[in-house]
Amino acid sequence: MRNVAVIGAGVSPFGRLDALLYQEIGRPAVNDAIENARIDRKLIQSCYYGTCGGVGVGHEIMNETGLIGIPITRVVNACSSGSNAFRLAYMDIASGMSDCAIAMGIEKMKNASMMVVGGGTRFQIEAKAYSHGSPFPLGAGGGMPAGFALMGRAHMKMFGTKKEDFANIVVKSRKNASKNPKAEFQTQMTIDEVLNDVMINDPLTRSQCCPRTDGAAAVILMSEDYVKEHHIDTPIWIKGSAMGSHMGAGDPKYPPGISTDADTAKKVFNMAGVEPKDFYERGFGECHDCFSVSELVHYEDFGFCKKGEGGNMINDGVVEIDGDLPINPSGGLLSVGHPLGATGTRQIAEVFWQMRKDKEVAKRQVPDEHLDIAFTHTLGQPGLGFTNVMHVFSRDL
Amino acid sequence: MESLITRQKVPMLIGNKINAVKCDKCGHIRFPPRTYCNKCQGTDFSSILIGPTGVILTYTTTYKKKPKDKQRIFGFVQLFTEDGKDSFNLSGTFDTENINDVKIGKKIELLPNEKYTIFKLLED
Repeated sequence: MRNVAVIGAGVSPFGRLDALLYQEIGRPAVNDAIENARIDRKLIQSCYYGTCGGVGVGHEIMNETGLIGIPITRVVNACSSGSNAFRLAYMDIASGMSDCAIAMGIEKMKNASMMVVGGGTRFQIEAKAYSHGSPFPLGAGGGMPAGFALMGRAHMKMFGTKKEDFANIVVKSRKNASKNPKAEFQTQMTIDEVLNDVMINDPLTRSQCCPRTDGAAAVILMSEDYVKEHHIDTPIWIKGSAMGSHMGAGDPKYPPGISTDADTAKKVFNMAGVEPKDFYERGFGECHDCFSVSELVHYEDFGFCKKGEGGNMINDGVVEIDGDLPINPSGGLLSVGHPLGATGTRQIAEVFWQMRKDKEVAKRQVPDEHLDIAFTHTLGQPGLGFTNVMHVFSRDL
Repeated sequence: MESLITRQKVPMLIGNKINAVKCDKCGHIRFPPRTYCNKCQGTDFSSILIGPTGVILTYTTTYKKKPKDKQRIFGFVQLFTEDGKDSFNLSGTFDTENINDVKIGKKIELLPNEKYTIFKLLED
């Protein structure tokens, strides 16, 4: 496999963009990514884009940005669509098929659906059947928030985790997003405001659930040969890419969490030659905080702390921007928003800008000593299955 | 070539027990019953009745759109066979509107009706 780098990124403002066309949301992200990479757009040889609802919008956006004619592939994998598109672009270049590719994610949530199995009735029946055997029926019987609420409740019972621990994740998220002008929510919240917000599924209040957001994000990838040939300044290298899948969200014998996230983390860290402790010393990351509970269990599933100690990570300030292991410096899905197809590439844009100390993240810059390595992670539920996608990046080749 | 019809036309419940099948080869429990095991692809099964008693694994409240809406408590339970050797996890609604009545580990009894899976809370 050839070495591949990220060389540019662009993100549209996230928010409720119902009145805009897909190409109006996607074009600025693509053009910003090309400008950020400082390359001639004619170098781009292929496009992979993630979206759940935008049929054919990749062609429209490539047409509006002068890129039509290159291979364009749509990826539909729920919340992991964007990171899957990025993984395919990476594989395309690593295999030698292309030297420069664009990975884009875009969503207008009004049009998006994760229920791709053909009709509500059938989905309900099958979902109920498949959820049997799993203690955490994400997406079945109570919707996504209920699935994570059930997980949170079990975590509270098993480990003594408190509602305040989950709420503190939102406080941290809002604080970081207040420095992110592209986030949907840029106002800070106190822990009391989070806890006293509208109850969705106990213990999850409204602000502990990510919003339905529209937006787009694009990143440019390039082979090592092209990086040298075109004198690219500060490329960020992709050191690991891994993916896992499962049905239902948990193994009944597994403590509250997402067992395949743990497996995927091991795979990607192994490929990159790093261990969880390395991120404490010199790294940071963006994880899939679709709900407050999910971020807390991700700390544990990735091996950053023992099972049951996720609450300490947030309460002790470990995951703050100036903490020992900054997580979601962008504000994450909880505050930036979660346009299904765009989230994966938005996360990659964030770690790329952070590692390159780009002006885009100047107000929320992760400290120098943590910029050597970074990870990104998405957890998607396409229909009745789940898909986890993780990447590890490094400033050094 | 295998038949495309894999759903077994058997009652979902016998009384208030779940009518499942257990793979003779690997022991995996399948519900609703199918003609093949999705773990080992085996096709030989034995019938197994699970429930009606079990314990609460986890629970949450359902979202109330309007204040007057009924507050349902939704969750997952682990149901056991009579001999206690096998178990199966099932989602459903508890027969209470008060979340404080529900506790992880509390015993329940499956009381299904035509539309819903209802779990009756039992005294410890």
